[in-house]
Amino acid sequence: MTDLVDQTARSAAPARRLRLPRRLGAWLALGYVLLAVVVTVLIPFLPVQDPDAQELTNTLGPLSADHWLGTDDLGRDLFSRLMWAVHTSLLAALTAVAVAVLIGLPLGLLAGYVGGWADAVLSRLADVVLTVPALILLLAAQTALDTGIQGQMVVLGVIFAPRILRVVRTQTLQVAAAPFVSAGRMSGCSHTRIVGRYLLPGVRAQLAVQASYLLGLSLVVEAGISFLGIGVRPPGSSLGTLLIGASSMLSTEPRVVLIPAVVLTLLILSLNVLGDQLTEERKK
Amino acid sequence: MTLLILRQLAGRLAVAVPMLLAVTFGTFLLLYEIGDPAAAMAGEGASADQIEQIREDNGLDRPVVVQYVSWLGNVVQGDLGASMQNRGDVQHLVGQYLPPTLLLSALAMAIAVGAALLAGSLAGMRPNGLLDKVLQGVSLLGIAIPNFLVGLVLILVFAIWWPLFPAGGYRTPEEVGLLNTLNYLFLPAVALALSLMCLQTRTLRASLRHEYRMDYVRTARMKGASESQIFFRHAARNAAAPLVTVIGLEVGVLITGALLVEVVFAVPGIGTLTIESVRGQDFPVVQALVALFGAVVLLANLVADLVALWLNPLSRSKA
Repeated sequence: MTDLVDQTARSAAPARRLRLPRRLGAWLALGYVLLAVVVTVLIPFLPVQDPDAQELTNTLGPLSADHWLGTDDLGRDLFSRLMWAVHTSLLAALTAVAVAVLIGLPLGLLAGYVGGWADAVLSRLADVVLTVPALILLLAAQTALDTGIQGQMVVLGVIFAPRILRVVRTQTLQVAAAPFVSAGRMSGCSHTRIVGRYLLPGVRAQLAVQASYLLGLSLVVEAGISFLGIGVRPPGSSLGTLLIGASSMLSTEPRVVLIPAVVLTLLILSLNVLGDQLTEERKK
Repeated sequence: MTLLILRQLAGRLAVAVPMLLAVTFGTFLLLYEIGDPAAAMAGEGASADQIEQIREDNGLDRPVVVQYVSWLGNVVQGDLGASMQNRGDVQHLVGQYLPPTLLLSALAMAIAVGAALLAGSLAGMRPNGLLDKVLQGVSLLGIAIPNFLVGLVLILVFAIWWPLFPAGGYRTPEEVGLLNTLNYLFLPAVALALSLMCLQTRTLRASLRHEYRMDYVRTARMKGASESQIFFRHAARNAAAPLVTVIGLEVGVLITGALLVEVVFAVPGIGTLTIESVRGQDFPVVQALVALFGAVVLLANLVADLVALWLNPLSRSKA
């Protein structure tokens, strides 16, 4: 009996299976993001040069067979620094989003499904956190805690959690009102089963959309604070630290600044495009 | 009408004021309960006894609620406390760093709104036209690219390759006159304006498209009203309401963006003060700044709501 209800739940739930993006732009975006993920995972095993090795006789060197993207102001290989930067930045952003989902998803389900007191308290709390811009909150937390990039990204995840909570709550409210949920209850499903098998599939798609936007936002924040010298500290390399001292390098060798800037922008752009595409797929 | 606005104002204040209190209290908890101002004051290498001494001397050993209430009491009287890094009163610090940021934000918002009104109107009147397509592409990029990167590119193009503007720095209007000050602030303002403008253009385009499909536009057309009359007298006013709401919501983006852009262009504004205070763990300054940012965001949303209400009669009847 419960199996039967489960089946109807699956077909009736608003979470249609996400079809693969069809438009060329979305494919390119997906390809770029996947490339970044592959670089992130594989770079520790690839035979690239040491990103911290300085070659002081070859500072701001041109593109060559040894240095595919040339060298920076300290004679470090820009290509390998860039690859490691993608690794650091993407891992940092993923940390933030993972924390946000781990906190926001259960609390959002709770607020939407249980409602009442839990909903009132959680929604008010979310409102308060969302009043102050995320970067400002992160900086305030940094003043108090004085941690490194990993800690900062966990904090950022906590700051982003209300955004996930809101989306999940709204979606849960909609799904929970559907007849198959009461049918499930009547046929004796536990609350746990309702949440896991009935509500979660209905929430998943919206969660993916929000997560892809937040991933882009986390990349911006990471790059921002590292650029300010508060996040990843030199000589560590992230998409933000590569831009430190950019203003002085712009006049001599703009390539050193422009390459990481373009890589970062394309990554954020791709994540936004993917988010838009997921939203569109859902509307169909 | 006035009565309605006043009632709305009272209702919204009743939400905004507790919200601001919650924000400041939350920040206070974060800074003074989870964080350790005494340790930050003592600096590295201080002994536990020294830290304890500082804690007692500054009243940091009191319960955090007591500390908060005394902070709040001082704030109401216009006293934001004193910097822990011997930089004087917080209100003087803020007063000193605020003018460049205000000028920069106002200029950025003016550029953004001006450009968005023009681009959004043209795109909204001719949806799917050439201009509309181009703008859609531009706005996708404009929203994705972080403000400070836009700033770097602007420096490269308009200060190094084609030196029209200074690459950074700031002079007060008293020193060099308003026009020269704005010359310093122009590139950072454009960097800030880009993402704001893109969102505004999208909003205005969408709401104009919506209005152009309404019956009243068709009626106006049947009466023989000219296109410009339809636009200015009928559609634009209603379509502006969502735009105003978005502008209100964008104030948060503006603050965050100004932080980084000020650093890129070496403008001594609130963003610079914030970064310095975070680096130096200057607790009272950070507490005051978060309160200030929270208040600005809440105030902006409130004003935007009221203006939208005044612009669009339909939302009045809903409210």
